Amino acid sequence: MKILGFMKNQQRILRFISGVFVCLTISIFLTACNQKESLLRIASNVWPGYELMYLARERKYFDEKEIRLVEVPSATAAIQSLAAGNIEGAMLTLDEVLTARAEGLELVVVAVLDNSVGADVLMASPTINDLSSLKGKRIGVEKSAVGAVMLDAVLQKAELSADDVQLVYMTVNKHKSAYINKNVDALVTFEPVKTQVAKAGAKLLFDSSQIPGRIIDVLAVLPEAIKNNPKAIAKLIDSHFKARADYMAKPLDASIILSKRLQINPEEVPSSYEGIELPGVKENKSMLAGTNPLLKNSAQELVTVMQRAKLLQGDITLDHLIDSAFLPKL
Amino acid sequence: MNSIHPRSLSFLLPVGFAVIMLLLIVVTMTSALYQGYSEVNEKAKADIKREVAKISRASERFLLTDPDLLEDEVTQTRSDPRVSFSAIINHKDEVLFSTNFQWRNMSALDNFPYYNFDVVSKVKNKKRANVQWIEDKNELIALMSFTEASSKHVIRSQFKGIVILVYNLSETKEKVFTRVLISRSIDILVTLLITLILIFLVRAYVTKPLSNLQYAAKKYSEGNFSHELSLKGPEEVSELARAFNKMAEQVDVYVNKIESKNLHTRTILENIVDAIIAINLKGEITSINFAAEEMFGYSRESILGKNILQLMPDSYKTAHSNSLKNYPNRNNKNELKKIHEVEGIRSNGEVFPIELGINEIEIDGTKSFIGIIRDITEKKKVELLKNEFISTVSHELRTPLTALNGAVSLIASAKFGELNEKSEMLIQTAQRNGDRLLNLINDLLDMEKISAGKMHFNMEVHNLQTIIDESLIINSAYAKRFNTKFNKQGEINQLLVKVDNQRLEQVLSNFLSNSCKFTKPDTEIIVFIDKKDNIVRVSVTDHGDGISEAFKEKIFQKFSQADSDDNRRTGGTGLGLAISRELIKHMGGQIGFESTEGQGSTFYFEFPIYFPESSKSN
Repeated sequence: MKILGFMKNQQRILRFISGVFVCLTISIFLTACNQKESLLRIASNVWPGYELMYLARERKYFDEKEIRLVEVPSATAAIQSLAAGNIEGAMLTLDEVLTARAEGLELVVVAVLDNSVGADVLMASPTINDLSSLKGKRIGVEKSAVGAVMLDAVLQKAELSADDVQLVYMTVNKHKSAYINKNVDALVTFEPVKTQVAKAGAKLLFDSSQIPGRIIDVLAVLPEAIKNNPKAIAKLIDSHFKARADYMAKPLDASIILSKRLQINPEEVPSSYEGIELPGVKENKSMLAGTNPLLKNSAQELVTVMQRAKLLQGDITLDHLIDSAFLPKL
Repeated sequence: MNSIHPRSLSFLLPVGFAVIMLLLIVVTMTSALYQGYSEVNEKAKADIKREVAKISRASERFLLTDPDLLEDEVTQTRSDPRVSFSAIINHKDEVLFSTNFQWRNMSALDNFPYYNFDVVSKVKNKKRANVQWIEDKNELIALMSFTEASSKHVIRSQFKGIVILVYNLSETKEKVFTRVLISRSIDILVTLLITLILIFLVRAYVTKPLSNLQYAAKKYSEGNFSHELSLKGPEEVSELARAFNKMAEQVDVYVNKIESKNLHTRTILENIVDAIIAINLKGEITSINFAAEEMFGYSRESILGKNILQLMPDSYKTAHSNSLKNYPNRNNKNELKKIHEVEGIRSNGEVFPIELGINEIEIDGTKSFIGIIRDITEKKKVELLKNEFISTVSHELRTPLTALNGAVSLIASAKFGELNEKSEMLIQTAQRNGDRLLNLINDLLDMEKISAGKMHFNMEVHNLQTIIDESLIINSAYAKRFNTKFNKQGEINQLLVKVDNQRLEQVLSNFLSNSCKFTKPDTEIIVFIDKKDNIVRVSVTDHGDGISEAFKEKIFQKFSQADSDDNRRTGGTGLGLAISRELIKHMGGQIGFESTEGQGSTFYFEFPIYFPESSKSN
């Protein structure tokens, strides 16, 4: 009897210790798997379409220990950082994504942030009355695809060629001062410079509403980030849509926060969103998901324009350009 | 050896190991953490100095010429996960560029917690980075001044701006912690694995053999010696098992020896003819043998634990209880060893005579009494037959002997003519031997009567003086024959005793005749009467050789005479004193003697003095 009891106790102890062993193994395994992803760093310059991300940051929709927004002065700087491997993604225009891909930086579009339907503009001094009057004038433009796309559209509309105008290349942070100092006669620019120069008397001659779907802002990330930071990417996109909903519901509250980075008065914020379409989750799905997503068509058209403007050299593949897996469920 | 018990070997050993290992792991983990943290700190300090210097240098060179590049430089710092924020601040404390776009053009004094006048003036006075370490926030703050170019034409400005760079190391340290934890987890797992293996090993090689040993020991203690212990296991355990087996073997041998010895003793006791009964001090029967069962007619089971009183007739019970009660206080314990003739009672109520010998024994400090009992019913019957035979024979002998003696007396009296000298001598011989034979027969008959309880005593109050005087007269002729005479001494004043005067005279005559026989010629025999309290003692003292020490014990036994010579010289039956003792006893007196060898002997008897008043009151 005692021997039997003894053996039973032994088995109980063994079972207990084995249990502890198995539990520990599992928990350590889980800890290892659950280990935090490395920091997801997303760069962007100031642009109303991107600012919802900063609204999300201010409202702590994501953990800054997991996701960091790196505030860079320009898209160029963002792409340089991406190339240097200092960041994992950036908020860029689609043409910038394509340029980067052409240069070997295989960026993947994971969300469409905004669609320019008038936000990108040609602002001209009051002396210029119509597009055709641009002939021989100095036009300040960013040496970027958006600039090229806008310029391409403007020149087509004005029935002018590139040789008919003087192009002054400058980054967007110089636009305002260049206009005010009369270094340029017209600017191919966007918000918030649009509002700023409008105050200085500039007139709107052309905007992106005339070329819908041509200028799109996206969130693009490096393939490594898709592999290493999938959760953070999904979280970031989700936060963007939450902030979007906030802005839609209470634009005034959001404007107070948004105005700080835009460096305008809060009441001016809504006007800076004029001409910008902020697609929701549903629109994003229609643009990104499916076997033949709409964005791919836009990209294809854009490639044609950019090649024509000699902004893209050689062939470019659009495979794996889009990944809709991170969009929140409807 | 219950293993659920936390003190069991199979638990303690591996768990002890595990605890030690885990402690070791904790210690190494702590040191790894400490090292990891200090590495992080050291690297951060070096990095922050380098970075702040780099931005400061860039600020001096590019503030006017290429502010874009400068802004790039500042904002890029945020791509370092450690960087909390950085900024370039001009001499008016305005933020020129910062990792946070919204701080641009704002006052650094208002917005940056580590930026204040004291620090700024300190930093501006030297061309080196000022690095602060805020322990509780895990923050590292570096500030460095730069010469602010105010215009392209001024070579050297007196204005100084500040570059601030802040690292937050908590995330980095958290990562170090996780990394250390995961690397140590493997150690913990290995330790647990070893612990499990240890438990198995200890169980298989130590605990199990030990538990077998315990099981065997238990079996042995229950008397099962057939269990042979396995010698498997480590050296120590198998040695123990071997020693245990050997011990068990020895114990087995001893137990067998003891058992056979026990059986031997028990067989003897059970087959002994006499009954043996042991009782404790309370009188309870603790053991009896087979003969006792048979004798008293009780089974062992029914009588064990019962009081011994159950085996004796009522008449003995009080005496037994008293003697048992007083036993511990008694001095003369030798009395026990004597063999007594008493009576027992069987289960069917039959009372029967027994001989009882009692001995006191002590086993393990417990006193008890062993009684050895012999049924003497048969012996008594035989004795009775013998006595009857003697009585019959004596009677039959006496009648013709009386006739013979009468005839011889008549012839000796010469009534039928004078006898010649030769005839007279022969007749005298015949007469003397006839008297002697008659005495013998009378003594035998007396003895027989006494022991059969048929002796009749005619108890009456007599004057002791008269009895003594008559005895002296009767025996004076006999004394003359031995050339001695009686000398009566002591006070006698109408002393009365209640006796049978014939029997008392018989006793006194026996004393006197014995004295005549043994006293030396021409000495006096002193008859002394002494009164003490209410007792009177009559003693007869001779001056003979006395009684030897060896003979003193036997003096009152039947047919006892000092030596064979005596019989011839003095002519006696050897029954006299035995009869005297019985007679005195029956009349309520005491008999006794004192004797010193070579100086003579004194025989005496004592009686309570009879007072007429006391008889009335009685």
